[in-house]
Amino acid sequence: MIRTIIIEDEQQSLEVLQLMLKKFSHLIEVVDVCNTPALGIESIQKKSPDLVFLDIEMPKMNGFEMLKKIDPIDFCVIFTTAYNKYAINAIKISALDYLLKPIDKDELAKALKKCQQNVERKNVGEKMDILLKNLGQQRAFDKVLTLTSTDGVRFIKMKDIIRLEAQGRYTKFYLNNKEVILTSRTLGDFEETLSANEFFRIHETHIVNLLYIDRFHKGNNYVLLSDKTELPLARRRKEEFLKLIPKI
Amino acid sequence: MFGHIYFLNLNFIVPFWTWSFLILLMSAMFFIFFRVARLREKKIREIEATKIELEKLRADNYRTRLEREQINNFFSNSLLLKNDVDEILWDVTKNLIAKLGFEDCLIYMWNDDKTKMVQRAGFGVKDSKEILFQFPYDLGPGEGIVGTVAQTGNALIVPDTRKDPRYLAEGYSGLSEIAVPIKYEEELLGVIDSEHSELGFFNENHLQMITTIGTLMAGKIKSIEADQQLRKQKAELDNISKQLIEMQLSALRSQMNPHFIFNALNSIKKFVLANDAENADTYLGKFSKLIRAILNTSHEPNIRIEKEIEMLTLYLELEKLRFGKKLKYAIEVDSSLLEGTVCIPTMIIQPFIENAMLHGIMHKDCCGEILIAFKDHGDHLEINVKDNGVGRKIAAELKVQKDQVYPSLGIELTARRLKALKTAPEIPSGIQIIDLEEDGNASGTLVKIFVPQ
Repeated sequence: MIRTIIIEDEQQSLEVLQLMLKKFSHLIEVVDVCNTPALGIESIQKKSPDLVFLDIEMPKMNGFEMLKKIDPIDFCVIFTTAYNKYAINAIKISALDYLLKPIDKDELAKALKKCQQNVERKNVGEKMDILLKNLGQQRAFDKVLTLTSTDGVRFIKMKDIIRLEAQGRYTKFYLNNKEVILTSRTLGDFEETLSANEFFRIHETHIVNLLYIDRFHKGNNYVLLSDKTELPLARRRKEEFLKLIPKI
Repeated sequence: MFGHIYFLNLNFIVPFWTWSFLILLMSAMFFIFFRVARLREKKIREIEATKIELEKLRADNYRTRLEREQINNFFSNSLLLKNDVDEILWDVTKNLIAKLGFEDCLIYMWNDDKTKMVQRAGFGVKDSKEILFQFPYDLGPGEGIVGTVAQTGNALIVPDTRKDPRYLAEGYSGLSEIAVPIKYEEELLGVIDSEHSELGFFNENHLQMITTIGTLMAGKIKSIEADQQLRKQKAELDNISKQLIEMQLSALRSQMNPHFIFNALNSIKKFVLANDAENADTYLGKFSKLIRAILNTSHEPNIRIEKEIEMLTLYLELEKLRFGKKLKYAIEVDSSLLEGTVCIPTMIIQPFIENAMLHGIMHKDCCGEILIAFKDHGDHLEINVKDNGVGRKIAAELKVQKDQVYPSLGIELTARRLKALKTAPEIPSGIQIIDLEEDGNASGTLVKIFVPQ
């Protein structure tokens, strides 16, 4: 049984989540519900849960600030929010989980399943540190990306990533120290998150860091990176890519 | 009785056969012939002379005309390339000196309210090409030669400035002067003025030439001014339409706040999950009604007060669903505003209500109140949005996330939009934000929106 606490200030949202969780009662047990962050902190310390549903927008103290006050974080966190582009991107980068209101039941099931697997839970504290750091960063390159690979969890600075390459259902990361990391997520999983942070998908199988683009051959549509790799630019991506070039 | 007839015989013995007579006759004839020939020759020569004289005169005329034509051509060509009034004035002064051998040349133009002639360009040869601008002065109508020309609109040549009482010796002074008006279809734009150290230097030819140049200049200046005016108007129009689009976009964005939409949907979802079909139906109805109203009115510049109140009520009802008992609201309207067709700009009030809720009421533990009042002041409306939330200062300290910061740009745009409605300068317009206090503690925020009618 996953021992769960819900921290949510709005009665409606709380009831919605409670009603939805009823379908998973074989899996989880809601041990407490709190309608203020202060009560949430108290409850977490007292009950040491396995999982916390945490609303981001709350009065007086938001969800992130509440987490800052808890140490150690040894439980899964699923953030909930109606709409918050900025926070969601930060959560995604940090490989943490979130649900958008109104919550979709399939996504809820997926999130719960992940929490069940202990791998996700192991590094929650570190991931949370990264998240809180990323939230404070204005510039994309100062942010840190959290990767779960076969070897465990890795934290990589955005500015150290040269490019990503799809390998079937896996993705290879090429770093500027010549290291290559294989992750178990698809290239598409990373595209949206990274595009908001100065990366660009130039091809079906390639995402590049704009910081490392050295040259672009207009004639044969090849992009040359500063580590001397040459990658093809898909014709359909060309127009968008050229718009980005002056930024580099 | 007839007397005797006497016959007197007179015999003239003409010695025509004598050589002397013949010679005499011959010489007499020869003389006469010679005289006649001389006379004829003289006459022909005289005619020739007048002909040549005439030719010469004509040639002279052609030359000056040619010269004038050339100068005119020169000026019209050089003017053609200019797109700035000052550039034209400086160019003309410089070239008049170079082409006509003037010692100086000044151009005066009207000031903005046409009370004075202002020196706009000037060059002089005498002071080693030093610009005569070192003595800039303005002239009223009737002051000096230039002022006289400005007043009468007729050109003046003053052969001797010492003998002309209108002459004002100021700065650089010459002995003769010419002043020619720059006219466009009887409208006086300015005066071209030149002085010379020789007495009687200026002649009709100069006058004609400067008059032509003046006319050329006037045409060009007018076309530049018209062009500039047109460009300015176009830029203004572009600017206004751009701002309007911006405002509409920002208004649309704030009203269609995704936050609100998803929260409302979430609230409705609860009714569904709780099998409360009636409430689910009611609020889904309200939600669709509001979204439809927003979609319908967002591209209209104005909205009827009744309609606006209807939309605000729907909006507040849906928000109440989310905040529950924490939120109470009331809308007060002066009855005079509900009759007839009083309109206000669309989407100006809702962002302030949303702001009051997110930054004022949300941080309160209970009993949030929002009071909206529409007051009729005749030439303008006063709309109040008052909340009893935590106040702006505490709200600013509490808000950490970027996404939620209320765009102050929105306030500014709304204020500008309201200002544009003014029909008289004394009518109040814009937005006033008042921090409410009670016993030294923040007790909410009052936003006053003034809408000129």
